[in-house]
Amino acid sequence: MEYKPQEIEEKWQKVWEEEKVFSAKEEGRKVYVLEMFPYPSGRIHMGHVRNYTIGDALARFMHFKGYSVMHPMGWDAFGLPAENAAIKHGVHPADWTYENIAYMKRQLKSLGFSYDWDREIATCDPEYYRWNQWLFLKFLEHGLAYRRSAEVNWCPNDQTVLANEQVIEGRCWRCGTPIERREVPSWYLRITAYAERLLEDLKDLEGKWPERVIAQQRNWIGRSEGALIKFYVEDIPIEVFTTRPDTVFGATFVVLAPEHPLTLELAKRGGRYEEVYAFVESLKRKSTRERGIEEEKRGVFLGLYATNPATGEKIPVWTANYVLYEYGTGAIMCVPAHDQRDYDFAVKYGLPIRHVIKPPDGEPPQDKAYEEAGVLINSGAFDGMPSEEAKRAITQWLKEKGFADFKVSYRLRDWNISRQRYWGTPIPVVHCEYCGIVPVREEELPVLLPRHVKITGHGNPLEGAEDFVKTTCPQCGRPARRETDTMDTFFDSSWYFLRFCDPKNHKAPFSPERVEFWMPVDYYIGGIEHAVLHLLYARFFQKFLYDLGLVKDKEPFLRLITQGMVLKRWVSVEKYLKYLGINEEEPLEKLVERIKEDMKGS
Amino acid sequence: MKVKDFLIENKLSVGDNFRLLLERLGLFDEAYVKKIEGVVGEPAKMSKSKGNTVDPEEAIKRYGADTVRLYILFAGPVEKDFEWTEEGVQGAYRFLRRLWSLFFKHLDTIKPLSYSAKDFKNLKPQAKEIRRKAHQTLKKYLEDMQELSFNTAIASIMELVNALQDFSPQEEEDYKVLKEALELTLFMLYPLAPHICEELWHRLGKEGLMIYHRFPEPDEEALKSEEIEIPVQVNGKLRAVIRVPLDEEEERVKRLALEDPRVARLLDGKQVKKVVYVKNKLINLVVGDG
Repeated sequence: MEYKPQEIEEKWQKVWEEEKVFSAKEEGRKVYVLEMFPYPSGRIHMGHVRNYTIGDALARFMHFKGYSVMHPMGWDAFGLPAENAAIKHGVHPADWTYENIAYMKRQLKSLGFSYDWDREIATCDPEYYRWNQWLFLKFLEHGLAYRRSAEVNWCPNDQTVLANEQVIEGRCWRCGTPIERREVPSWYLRITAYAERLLEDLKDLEGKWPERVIAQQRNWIGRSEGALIKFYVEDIPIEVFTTRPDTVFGATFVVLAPEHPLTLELAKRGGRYEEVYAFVESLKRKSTRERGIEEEKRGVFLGLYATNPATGEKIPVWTANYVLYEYGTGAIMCVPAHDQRDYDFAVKYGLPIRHVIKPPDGEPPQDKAYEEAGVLINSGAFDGMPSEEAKRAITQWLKEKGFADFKVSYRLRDWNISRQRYWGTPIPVVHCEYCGIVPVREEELPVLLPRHVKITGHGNPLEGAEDFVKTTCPQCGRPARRETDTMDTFFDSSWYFLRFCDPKNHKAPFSPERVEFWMPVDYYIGGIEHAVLHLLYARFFQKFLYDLGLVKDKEPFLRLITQGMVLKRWVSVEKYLKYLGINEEEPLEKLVERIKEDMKGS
Repeated sequence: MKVKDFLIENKLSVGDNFRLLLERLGLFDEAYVKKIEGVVGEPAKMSKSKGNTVDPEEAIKRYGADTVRLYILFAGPVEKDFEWTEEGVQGAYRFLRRLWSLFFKHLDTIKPLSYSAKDFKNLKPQAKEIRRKAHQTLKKYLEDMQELSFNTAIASIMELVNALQDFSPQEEEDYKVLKEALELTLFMLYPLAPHICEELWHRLGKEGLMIYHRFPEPDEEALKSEEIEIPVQVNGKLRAVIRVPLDEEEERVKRLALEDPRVARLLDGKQVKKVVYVKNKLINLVVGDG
């Protein structure tokens, strides 16, 4: 007898499937094993195989241990590549997607994975995305979804807005094109309202999630304690957020971000509008990335002075490229003696530098900023106080004078879910000339994605779909226009693990009873690259649904396993030429000769 | 023509895989490529742009799903990156083939046998040792699986299969031990490489799919290792006899000998200068005055 896997594997796969061996039943002790569902890109790769093999080994082992196991699989099926395929090959995104799903499903089956295929979901199915829309309406109802015009990350190649999380080192996470800044009206989810809970509950995940994922989330949420301090320019207060209120006596100038609404107004008052306007415009053409890596700090004086609330001194107000409007209040107090960036700026423009913190032993350095803790000097009544203690004391003192307050600040921003794209969930609102923005009624869901659209690769195809756009206002019945933004696909994947518990529910996204039985996910397996994207959004959704009373668990994923990558050895042409000692300018014959020689030698 | 122009003409960049260059030059040779990769290559995440992917479909076609699964789980701890090698995947394939032939070598003999606890009461040393190994492996396997340490779980299954290959059963009891051990192996391997296990399980004449059967528990009786008596000499004179497990580590035997009250009394105030241990036979302590 010879071992011929091809002859036995398919046979057993059929038996398992026909006998519904892996159908999940609500009885006894449960285990929910879940692998991050794939994007149907066409073919599975070895990374998928590793991911799912780990899950399958666990699921089958748990079956043996007598658990009632749920091990489902589905498709994160909306997204850009389907549209790119439409542009390139003229195939409809839906057809492309469903063909890929069929192919990949066959591939997964050929690996013998123990999925309960009866629970399969595809997020591009109206039966799934109608519940995205339903959830969106719930967010809207609770004041957690809002629309505002804001400067956003714009990918000029994909012609779409990107979330902060989708900008990797200033580039589009998908195509690598440097992003630009643009004013676009967009829909946001108020994830910042959950910042504190998202941070706090990370403690419950310690020991169950990889430490570095927890660290990355903590860092992404970026809680910092500090003070909000007002620097008055005549009657106008400039609010700055600082984590170093202990250094306020050393603040010798104030800088506003170029986009700060006060920048141009103050420049007008200061009589320097033209210079400042030109400077602000010059920066608009630059992406955050370019601004981030621009080594040279540049700025312009606005022509007037603010009062340092601690010293009573008049200090100049500037605008500069190194202050970003998105962070803190978009304005900073500058303490060149104790902040290196402020120091560089002060040296360049000849602004005063005053030391207010002294190292515990010795003198502060003269050629750079001293950023560590120490003891206060040149700070009036606070001289001699350790800087940590002074943070509180000075904030309290300024608070009593009406100039400051304690403030906790987060790095986390609200989540922009608008995409100017076709292949996604339509955002269920209409724009009415008379009533403004009106949500589509729940019973009208789903707002179906129209099949016939022109996909050209520029702009949003939905804008050209008149049948889709033209509608009537749910409130007044007059003609109105549908929202054409679709949802970031991370919305789709933020709750799919709940849908798996009750995948065929036609009345609700899921029944709370089904979810209570299966949730939380006991083992969640996927790549580390989702540390702050998917995994943070999913936690946010879970908490929101918890507040709605629809789920009982505060955290969706009990244990997280981030599998490593599959590597393979390779040699680049460059490395090979170097190894042979040949450069590109040499004749081809010489290269061929060297290769043949090298082959003989081996 | 310059090398540079050849690259441009063939739409190659210096960042491409050198395999492409050799192909375009008509000089591709698998053995040579392997050698170069071994000398100057470096492992990198599989990607289309680097041309260093392995298509799962191809691998399944060639080796079967069980081999691919087993290899992936065996190649390293779950959270760590691992480098895919052809040798590695072939190793997993060879292991499954060995298991397969081992099975069929004994199938006709073991198929009609049934066993129960009483069959294992009076086993010969070799069979007893095999049984101990099988249950020890099972015990460790259960711990490893709980920790998601699939690679170490597989390593011990492999060791067990090696031991079963070296085992030459003589009597019916021996075959019963072998049958039990092979069944344990199937259970342990099933979550990792399910198809081959299901197949062999049915070849054994079992009814119903494996998943419906109770997963075995390690037999505490089998885990017990045999104890032997070891004479303890002090300066060549027999002073005590201690009981230790067979094949116990030397350090532990030494400690047990020194802790024996009769020996301890003799050693009071004296210094142990040398210890001679003859494995499983005897221990002699050479002592002198302080």
